[in-house]
Amino acid sequence: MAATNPSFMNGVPELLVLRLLRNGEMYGYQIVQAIRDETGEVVNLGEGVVYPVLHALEKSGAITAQRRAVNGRSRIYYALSPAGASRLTELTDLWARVTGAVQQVLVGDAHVSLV
Amino acid sequence: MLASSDPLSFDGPAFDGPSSDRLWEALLQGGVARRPARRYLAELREHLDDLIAEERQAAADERDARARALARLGSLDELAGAMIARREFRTWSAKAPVATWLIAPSLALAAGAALAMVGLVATATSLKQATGAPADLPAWMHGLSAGAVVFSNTLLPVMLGWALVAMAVRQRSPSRWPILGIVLLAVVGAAAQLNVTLPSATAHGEIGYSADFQSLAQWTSYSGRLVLNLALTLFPYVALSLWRAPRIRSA
Repeated sequence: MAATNPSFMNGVPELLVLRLLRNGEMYGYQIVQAIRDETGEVVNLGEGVVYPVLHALEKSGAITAQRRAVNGRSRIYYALSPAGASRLTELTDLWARVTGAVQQVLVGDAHVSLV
Repeated sequence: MLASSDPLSFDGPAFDGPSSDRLWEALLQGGVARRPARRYLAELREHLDDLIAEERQAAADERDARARALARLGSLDELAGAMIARREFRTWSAKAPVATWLIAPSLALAAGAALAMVGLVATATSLKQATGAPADLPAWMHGLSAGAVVFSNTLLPVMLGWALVAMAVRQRSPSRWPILGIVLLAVVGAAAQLNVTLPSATAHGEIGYSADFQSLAQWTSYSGRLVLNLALTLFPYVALSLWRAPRIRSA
C-alpha cells in the first residue's frame, strides 16, 4: 500500500475537491477514489481526512451537502456552490502562479535574490 | 501529526475504527464540538463500509479486508489531528477559554442579578402607582423580594457553577480552565450580593448589588458563602473528574 502524503499538503485538498465537484456532485468515498485515480496515486492520503476538508468547505459556503438514500445506502452528497466556483478560480490561479514560480527555480532559470 | 507524547496519542489497543470511543474521546479532548465530531464519525463509518466492500471484492477475507480498510482510512492520530487542526469545528471553550470560563460566567451572574433588580423595581413601582398614594407594599411583595435575593445571592452562583461543570464534562475540557472558572465564580458569587430594602409608606426603598467587606461579620459571612459555593460546585466537579478518569483512559 502506498504511503500517505504528510499532513495532506496545505491547500491542495481544497483545490482538488472543488475541481472534482465542478464535474458534478459526489460523496466522500467517490471524491477520495477520484483524487487517487486522477493523480495516479501521487496524491494519496489517509482517506478519512478528506471529511474535515469537506466539512470546512461546506461551513465556508463553498460547497453544499445533502443526505440522500441511493441503492439502500444513505450518503451525503457534496456539490459545488457559486461561491465555491469563484473560490476554485482563485485557487487555480494561485496554484498556477506558485507552481510556475517553483518550476522556474527548479530548472534554474530564475535569479533568486536572498537579500 | 500528533507527537507520541501528546495526550491524544493513546498507548492502548490498535485503533479499531470510527465506531471506537477512542476517536470520539480524542476529538472531544482536542476541543472539537460534539456536533461536527458526531457527523465526522458517521461519515467515517460509511466510508469504512465502502472500503471494506472494495477490499472484499479484491478477494481479501473479512478480517483482512477490515484491516486493510482501516489502514486506508487513516490512523487515530491522522483522523483526530485533521479535525482538531480546523479551528472552525472547535468549541468556544477551546477557542476562547478566558472568555468562556472566566468572563462569561461572571457576566451571567451580574446579568441575573440585574434582571432580579429590574423585576423587583418594576413590580414595586407599578404597585405604588396602582395604589396612587404612599402605602406599605403587600406581604407577597416581601416574599418576592426575599426570593429574588436568595436566587441572586445563593442559587445563581451555584447553578452557573453546575453549568460550568456540565460543560467541562461534556466537552472533556482540560481541568485547569473549569477549575479556574468555578473558583472565580464562587468568589464573585460570594462577594457580590444583592441587597433590597422595600419602600414603605414613610420611606424610600433601596436596592443595590455590591461587595462590602467593612466589618468582621461581613468577612465571616463572605467566607461562609464562598465555602458553600465551592462545596456545591468545585467538589462535585473534582469528584466527577476523578470518577471518569479511568473510564476515559480505558476508552
